Amino acid sequence: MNRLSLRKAIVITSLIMLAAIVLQGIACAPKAPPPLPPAPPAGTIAVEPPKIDYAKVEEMFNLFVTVRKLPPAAAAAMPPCVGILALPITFTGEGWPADSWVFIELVVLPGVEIPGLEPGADSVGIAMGKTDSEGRLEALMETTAKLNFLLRGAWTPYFTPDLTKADPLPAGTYTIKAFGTDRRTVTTITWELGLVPPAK
Amino acid sequence: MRKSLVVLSGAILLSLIVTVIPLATGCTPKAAVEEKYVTHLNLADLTGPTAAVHVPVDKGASAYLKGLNEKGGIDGVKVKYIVVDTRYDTARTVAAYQRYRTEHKVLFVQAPSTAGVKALAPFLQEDKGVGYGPPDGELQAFPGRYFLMGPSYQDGFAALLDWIVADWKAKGKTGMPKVGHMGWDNPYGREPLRGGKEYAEKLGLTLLPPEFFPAGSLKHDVYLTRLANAGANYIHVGGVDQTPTNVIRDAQALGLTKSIQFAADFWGPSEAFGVKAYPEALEGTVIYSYYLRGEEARNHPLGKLWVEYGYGSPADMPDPFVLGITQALGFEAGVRRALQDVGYEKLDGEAMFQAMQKLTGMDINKGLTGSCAWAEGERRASRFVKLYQIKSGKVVPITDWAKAPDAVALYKW
Repeated sequence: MNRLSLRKAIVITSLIMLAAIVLQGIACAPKAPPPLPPAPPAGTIAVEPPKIDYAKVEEMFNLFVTVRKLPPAAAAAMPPCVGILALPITFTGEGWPADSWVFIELVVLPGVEIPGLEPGADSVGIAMGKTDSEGRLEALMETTAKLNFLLRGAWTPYFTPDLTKADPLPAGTYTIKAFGTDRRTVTTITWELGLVPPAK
Repeated sequence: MRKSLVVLSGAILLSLIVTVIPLATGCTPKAAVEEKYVTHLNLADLTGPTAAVHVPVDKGASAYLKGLNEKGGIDGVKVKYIVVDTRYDTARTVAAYQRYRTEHKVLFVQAPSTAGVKALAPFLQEDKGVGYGPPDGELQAFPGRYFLMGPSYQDGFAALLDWIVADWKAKGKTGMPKVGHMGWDNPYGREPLRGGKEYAEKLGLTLLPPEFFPAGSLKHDVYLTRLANAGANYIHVGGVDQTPTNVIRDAQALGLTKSIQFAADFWGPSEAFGVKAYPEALEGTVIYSYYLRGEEARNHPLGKLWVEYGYGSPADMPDPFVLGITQALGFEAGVRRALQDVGYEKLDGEAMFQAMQKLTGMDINKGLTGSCAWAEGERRASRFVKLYQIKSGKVVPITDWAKAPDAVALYKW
């Protein structure tokens, strides 16, 4: 073996090594998961009323006291934000997949705590509904959801809310997310809530 | 020349090493062996209206599963226990399920309410998951992927009716007694009568028109008086403690406990709550239960977890604590069987669903309940109930385990 052929051998061997390394790199690379099918299209979402101001809450509170025939002392022990319980809140939408579920979640403002919300979660489910055959949605916000998450209310051991301890969400513009069963199918709107007296 | 050969040989050897070793090891230079685990999702109510039951249930499940993991898990498979506080809210329950359904091997989803169970049903069906929840008879009448935590409400009520007939006769009375039912004005409150009413007719008992009251009522005089005036000899009171306690407290104030025998259901007074608050009013009250209660529960080796995990003194242990342990035991038994059937890699909701139906007749709850009844077409965890009575402030057994009548089958669904 002369000097030239040795050099050739080294070059060839190096090329083989390089090729081996590259091929292994390709063969042993972690395989990418198969691409997900595209998410179904999200429909629209709207909330009625789109804005809840404190004057409306007070008006509903007076109605609540009248309908429930609350004695003056009982009414006086409750904050007016309890009036939200008498106000129907409805989510509507269209353009969703037909006969499918839509979940409505309230995104929590930074620094705001909601009872029951696990650490790291930034939104809480407040309503759900099933679309009709045309992909239209109508979902009512149930009383328990208003109590638990808008009023951050307490419960007595007697299966009844303690309305004197309501701690309403701070006033602000909140984001509402509507999801399909595939959480990539999402659309958002904003919702203005004024459950506490406006700052003077 | 010699040096060149050495270089060439070394280069060839190195290339072989680089080429062959990864191929021989199958391209698996993994950093560490992944821990095997499965997920148990508990959509509990920790701060809502039924927290008095769900908090001790969560404590029982949590304590048992923690101990299980410390001992190496289920045949080497650890349990990730996720608890979400849904506050008894259906939308929140389903949203929480949607959020956690993609966790690793979610094999068991505990729902907090009958409404929550029914709302989750289509999603569990689609995901081929397994649910576990309140003993609503409809879930037995139409068996799906939900497993009941005990016998159904109507079965328990029917077992009470059997006891009422026997008690009436034992007292030397002739004819048949009149029985009243009181409960919350909601589906749970009415559930005992869906099949229970038919069973009463079968026994020849007179079931008085039921009295339903809003959950949260603080006084029950009107309902009690109506039943008393109708001639009730026995009154069955539904509701989660402290509701039955308050009803019977009101009955005592009206002087009715002297002449009418009161009884409560699975969620009736616990020594740690209702009985502690009103021992005199509750004296003599009968409770039917599908899980051990009172001193029997506290003295059971698994009941002692209450103290071992620092939850309080034995006297503070609410009876539903052992219910949480049975929830964990049912999960453990299902996973163990599924592992035997399909192994860890293939372990999924469907394997768990099939496995749960193969636990029939086994003592999966180690004596905390009767033997397991889950089977194909059978969603009730157990068919057995036991009757207790409150005596001198204690909940003491007055019967052994007895198979409850199948009242679900009597109702026209």
